[in-house]
Amino acid sequence: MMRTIRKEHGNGGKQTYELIDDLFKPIFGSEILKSGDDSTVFSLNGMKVGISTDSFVVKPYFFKGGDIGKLSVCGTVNDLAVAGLEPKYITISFIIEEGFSMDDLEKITRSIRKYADLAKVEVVAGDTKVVEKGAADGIFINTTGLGVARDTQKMPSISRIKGNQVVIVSGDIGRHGACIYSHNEDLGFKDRIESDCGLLLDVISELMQEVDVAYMKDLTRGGLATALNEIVQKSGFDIKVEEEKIPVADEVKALCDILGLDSYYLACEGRFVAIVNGDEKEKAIEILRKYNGFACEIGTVEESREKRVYLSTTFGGTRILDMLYYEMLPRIC
Amino acid sequence: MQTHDAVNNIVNTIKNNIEKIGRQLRIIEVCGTHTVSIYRNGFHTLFKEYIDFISGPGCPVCVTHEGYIDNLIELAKMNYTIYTFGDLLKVPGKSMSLAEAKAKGAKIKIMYSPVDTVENMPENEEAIIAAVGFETTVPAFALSLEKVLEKDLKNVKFACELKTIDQPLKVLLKDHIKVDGLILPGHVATILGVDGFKFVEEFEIPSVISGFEKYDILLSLLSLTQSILDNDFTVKNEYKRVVKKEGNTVAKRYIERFFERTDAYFRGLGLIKGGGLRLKSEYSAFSVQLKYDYESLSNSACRCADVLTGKLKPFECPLFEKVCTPQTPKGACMVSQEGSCNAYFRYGKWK
Repeated sequence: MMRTIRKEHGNGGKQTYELIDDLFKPIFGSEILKSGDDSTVFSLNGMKVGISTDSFVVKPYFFKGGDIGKLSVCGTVNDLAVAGLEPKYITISFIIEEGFSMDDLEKITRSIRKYADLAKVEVVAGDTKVVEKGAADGIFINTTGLGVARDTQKMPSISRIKGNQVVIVSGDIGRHGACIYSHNEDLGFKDRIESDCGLLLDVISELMQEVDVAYMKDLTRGGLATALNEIVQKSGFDIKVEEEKIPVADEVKALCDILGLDSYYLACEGRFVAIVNGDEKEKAIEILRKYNGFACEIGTVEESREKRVYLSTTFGGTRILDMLYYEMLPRIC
Repeated sequence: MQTHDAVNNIVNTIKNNIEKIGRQLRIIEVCGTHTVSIYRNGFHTLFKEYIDFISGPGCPVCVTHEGYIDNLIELAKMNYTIYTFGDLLKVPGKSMSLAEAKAKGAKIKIMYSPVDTVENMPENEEAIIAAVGFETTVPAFALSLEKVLEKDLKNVKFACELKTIDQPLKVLLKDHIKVDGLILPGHVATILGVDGFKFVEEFEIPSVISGFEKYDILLSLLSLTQSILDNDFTVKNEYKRVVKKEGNTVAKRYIERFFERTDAYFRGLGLIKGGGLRLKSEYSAFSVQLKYDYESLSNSACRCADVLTGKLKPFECPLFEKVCTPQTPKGACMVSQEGSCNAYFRYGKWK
């Protein structure tokens, strides 16, 4: 049977990881790549620097709270920020389908400029390819970012995670995924849900100045559940989160109920989880709440090492919160 | 805090009821949405050793057999555009699923509302609406056919694989399964009413019509365990905010106007007399003739029938997690997000 790429291979869940681990990593063989985080931090001539790359294929290109241009800057800059890096430079590459609106392209480009300025990153290189009608879906953007360590003594790292630390989320989850679903499905929710697409630089900068953060991860494809699963896989420790504490906006809950989606797996584009020692959690939450009132403690790192994420339900039951393992599809009833 | 105390009181009352009954209860939740809610909210761990939850045959995706999918794929090959609910995409046919056919270029579109689909259909499109579901979704197909008649559309047909809930439940309770109580599907009851489930009383098994929120299920378990304790076989309604005694009479009239009973094949249960609905003969021009070879509709290694009838837990099936996963479902219960194997795959393990 011929092996083919399916949509699930790109959803940020189990299949994406299998593709990376089984096909890409063995072929590329780079030791640095094997560390496998969203940004790779390494030493270059005595400096701690980091690099991250990401491609953006979102449709619609313009959505409530952002557009593909804003997203392409925020996505890469946030990946650098959660690794404890200060973003410095960014490259932008476009793949554009012939027939794409020039006005839309200008709007997207201006948006890139605006958010690059806000992030204090300079666009230093780029590329443009135009493909024939049907060979791409409108516009695809790739960005690559370079950053330098904010504080080499307090770099967040997966190896600094240990039992009894506290897991904090920086705001309510699932907004970006819900926003895109609502646009695509045209269910009358179109202007009700605003994406959380945004820069995390200021909040992370302040957090790192005040708190010794063990580890941070931004929540993108696959949402909170997938991010937490990635953390337990790499750290070896279990994480237990409490359903009652996980903040989800009412409109996101409503969309999930109607379409049969699970908010824990919906993408975010301006949220992250931070893992800190218990004695620093109050300070961390206080800082995060200046930027988003929904920031809160959602769980703890357990001493046990089964590489599992457990969810305590409202009634005191426990279940496993697994990685996203297929495309979420709307249901019949 | 008050909510917590109230919940704890109810949980303790349920456990006390079961302790008075003196054994672990076998309770079947007929509907897939209940299955997911039970697992997702951790009821299976909360009542571990008190209740053995068994998933019933009330998930329309789970019971849709491969022959129907094969028919749709054949129709797509004939250049028809197939409109389907999203969660039917993954159901495996003999050679491929609708999702795989779509990836190969078949014109398969996801619909949310059959009425809106008919309303917005391009005039030059030869379309087939995949009509799948229990009584919950039948009125929507009836309304969409009414719209087709109103607009005098000649380019739309229905591929009916609609099911009724009463016949499979009767087969299940009569031939397959011994349970202490039933959680009945609130969505179907919205249409059929409490009266539509009165037949369950003949089996002398306590039952409750339940909503789908965690609190609904908790209250339904309270009611059901009380009924079991009292040997009370009356169908209880714990979804009163939605379900009336007589159901939705308008929706029922729509079903009767356009549809009539027929035999239907349930994945995992086989051919059930009167278990389906087809368009009445006066509307046959809008119905696609589907060709089935029932003899070939079985996967010998797949134990869905045993899972659906409570003889087997999902993890006891030889295919579970090995070759049968949500990405590569081999049988009924792994196909849908609301199937018991699928729910168990995602939420079933606990500390």
